[in-house]
Amino acid sequence: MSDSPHDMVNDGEYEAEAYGLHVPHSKKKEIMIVFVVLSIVTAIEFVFAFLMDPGIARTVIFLVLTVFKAAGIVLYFMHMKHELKRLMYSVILPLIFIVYLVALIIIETQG
Amino acid sequence: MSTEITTEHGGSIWDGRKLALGATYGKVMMWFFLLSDAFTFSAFLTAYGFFRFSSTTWPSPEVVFQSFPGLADHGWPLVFVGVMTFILIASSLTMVLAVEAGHRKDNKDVIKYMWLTIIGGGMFLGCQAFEWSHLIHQGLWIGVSEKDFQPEIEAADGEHHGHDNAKAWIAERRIFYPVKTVIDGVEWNIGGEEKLEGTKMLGPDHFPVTETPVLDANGVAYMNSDGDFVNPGDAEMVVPSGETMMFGKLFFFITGFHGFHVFTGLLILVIVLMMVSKGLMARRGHYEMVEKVGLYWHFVDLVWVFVFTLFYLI
Repeated sequence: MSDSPHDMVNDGEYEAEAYGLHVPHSKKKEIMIVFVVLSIVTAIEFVFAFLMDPGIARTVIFLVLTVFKAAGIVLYFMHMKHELKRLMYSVILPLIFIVYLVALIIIETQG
Repeated sequence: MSTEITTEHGGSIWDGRKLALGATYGKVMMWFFLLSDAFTFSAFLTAYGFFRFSSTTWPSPEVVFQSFPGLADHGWPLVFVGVMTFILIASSLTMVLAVEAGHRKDNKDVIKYMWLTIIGGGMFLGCQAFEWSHLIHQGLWIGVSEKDFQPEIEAADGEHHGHDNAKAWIAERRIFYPVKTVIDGVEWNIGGEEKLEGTKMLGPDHFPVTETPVLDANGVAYMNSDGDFVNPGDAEMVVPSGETMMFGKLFFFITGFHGFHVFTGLLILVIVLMMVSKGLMARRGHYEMVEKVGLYWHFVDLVWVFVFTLFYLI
């Protein structure tokens, strides 16, 4: 009748395939590596928690490691790395507002 | 003359042959929902940060979180939360393996890994229930405030203020978290039975003795076991600082909001697992629903990574 993707979707064909999309797909090996890295980074956080005195330096180390873990989860577990760049930026760029909020909090609590 | 951008098929980009973000509608919407949820969580967590970093004292996480249900009441700092964190990361692993099995259209594997994910999520919630119950028994709760520790007084206008059962209340629930404070350039340890490293313990020799009810500059009150205000040297318990109570409010609210996400995630996982088990996904020929639950589940793990750092480590 028609080769419009919408008709095909309505006929029950997978939308992503109807549009000729490559569905992001990760391999088991990659998944296991990410899992091991996340576990090791968490263990490193514990080491810092017990061996380093509280202070600005330790807080910064914790935040860097946390963002690193978060990036691992988003990029690999959630397949963001394999999505189109424009989807990635649509989701990641608005997070700049959170950075702005955190910066405000840090500045305002200094006094 | 047309100025429309054309696709590789030669048609207009606007004719609906191309998905704008390269992902199906459902997945794009899940991403934007998660983005909005990220804003909600960061609002809560920055509020926590605001209180935390504008306070001169704060309970030390190594002291607050040092029990392990069934094994040790104290002396195991951060061990239990380490187990909880590992369980959640592991459930994220099984979730991504379920998604991977979905790509291979392996119905049996999808079911297996979704079951493991559900078990992991349930274990995490159980651990959280243990931890909440422990802290509540120690006297910490979302609604605890200074008012709960004030004995009833009759003001000049004849009105009664304060807590009716302050004495009974205080005798039942005690909070002994040590907090650090700085007085005249020296770090002191207030409350609790253990000495915090690098501080001096506030003791009878150091207290400024006063005759009136004692509520020091940090909002810490000194009482005997009957709940009467006493001189610090005679104190049998220390009523928590406002910061300790603020910590309790933020802890229960934020971990509660996260736990609610875990709970709803489990519900959706169970529903999708039922759909997979009945062969619905196999008939559809794709497992995108598993992918969408997966995104939500990983997000819950992602939030925990931040909650873990901010509440347990820093």
